[in-house]
Amino acid sequence: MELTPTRLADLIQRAQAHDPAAFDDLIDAFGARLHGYLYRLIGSRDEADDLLQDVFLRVVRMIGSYRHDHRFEGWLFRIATNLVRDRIRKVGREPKVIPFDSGSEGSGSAWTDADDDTAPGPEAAMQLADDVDALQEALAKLPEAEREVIMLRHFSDLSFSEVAAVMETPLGTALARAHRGLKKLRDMMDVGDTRAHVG
Amino acid sequence: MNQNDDRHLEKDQVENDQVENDLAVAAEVEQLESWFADVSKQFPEPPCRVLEHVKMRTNVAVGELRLEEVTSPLASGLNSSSADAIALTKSAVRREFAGAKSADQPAASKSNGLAWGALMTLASAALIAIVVLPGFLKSTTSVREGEPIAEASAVDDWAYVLTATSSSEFDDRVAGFESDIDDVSDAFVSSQVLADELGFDEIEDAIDQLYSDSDSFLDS
Repeated sequence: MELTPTRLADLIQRAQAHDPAAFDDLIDAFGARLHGYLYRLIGSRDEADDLLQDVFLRVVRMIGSYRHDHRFEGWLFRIATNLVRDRIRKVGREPKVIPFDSGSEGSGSAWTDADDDTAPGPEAAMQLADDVDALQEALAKLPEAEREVIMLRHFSDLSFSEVAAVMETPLGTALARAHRGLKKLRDMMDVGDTRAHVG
Repeated sequence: MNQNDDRHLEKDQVENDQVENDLAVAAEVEQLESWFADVSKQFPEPPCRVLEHVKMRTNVAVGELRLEEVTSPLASGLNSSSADAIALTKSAVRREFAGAKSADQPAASKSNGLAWGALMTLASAALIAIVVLPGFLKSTTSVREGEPIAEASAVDDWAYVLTATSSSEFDDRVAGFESDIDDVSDAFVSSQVLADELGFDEIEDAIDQLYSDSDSFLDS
């Protein structure tokens, strides 16, 4: 079901009254995008799983104090961003780059679960693994602030003003970070492509 | 045109330049984002496999919040009951000694015997409320702490509901009960001093019996 502003307001109201079904619907509406955001920032599927759970547990605790001003998505992604920052600060590292077929990632490959009909075949999977590594590796090389703004824009429906608010920076700063980060990313990916062609 | 106007014009110009600069950057960023969207389609992130698990954990957390809402009124109700019992006991003690002072010795002895029977019943009820019940709850809590709600039995759920608040809150409540016990002890000591002064043997016997009963309850 499409999440219209009216329906979202209704879900928030019900969630504030501790209606479990409302939380289920919010998880359905935002869970996958939040997971993608967390994965891209952290670089580990298992940690993204844990953090997604933490995000919604925090939502349960904080929804009572949330005043709906049509910025729920910004509020949600701010919680996720703060959790990622805390995690990175605690662990003291940049996002790690996980090889596609690494056994350290729980069930192994993110894309080769047995019950996933869309999983690619072995050869395609290997190729995809190289590609995914390249993107994740490039993302991991970006400064945290640049990675955040690019990912916020990519996974949320937030405008640049809203992204700036989430990151607590002026609009110009958010724009400049996105511009700088995306250019670096394109350069890194272009170099990767060139190497692949030459090789 | 004065200097003030000049400064305003300069400021406006800087702001306009900034906006134009932002717009130019925004246009470039838009193109770069379009490129990134294409790249992301080629390199998709892993699908989320934990949504159902997150829903389950969230539902448990919501259930815990609801329990806390139920627990707070129950806990305050328990405190007020014990406070009521203590107040009732104290007022009965006061009434009894006031009556004993004004009455003749033989008549007082007879009526005191009956009244002390009622008083002991009240005091025993108060002791149960403030000593035995919290002790029971505390021993139950130590076993239940951290155990999932769904696994709690129907009987134990009652104790869980009463004690699901944090340990510091529970400690505060225990401290409150201890203070209440001290109040009752003080009342008993005062009663005994007064009884000694008045020389009522029956009252002394009754107080001794009350102490004995209290010890039995505490031991149990």
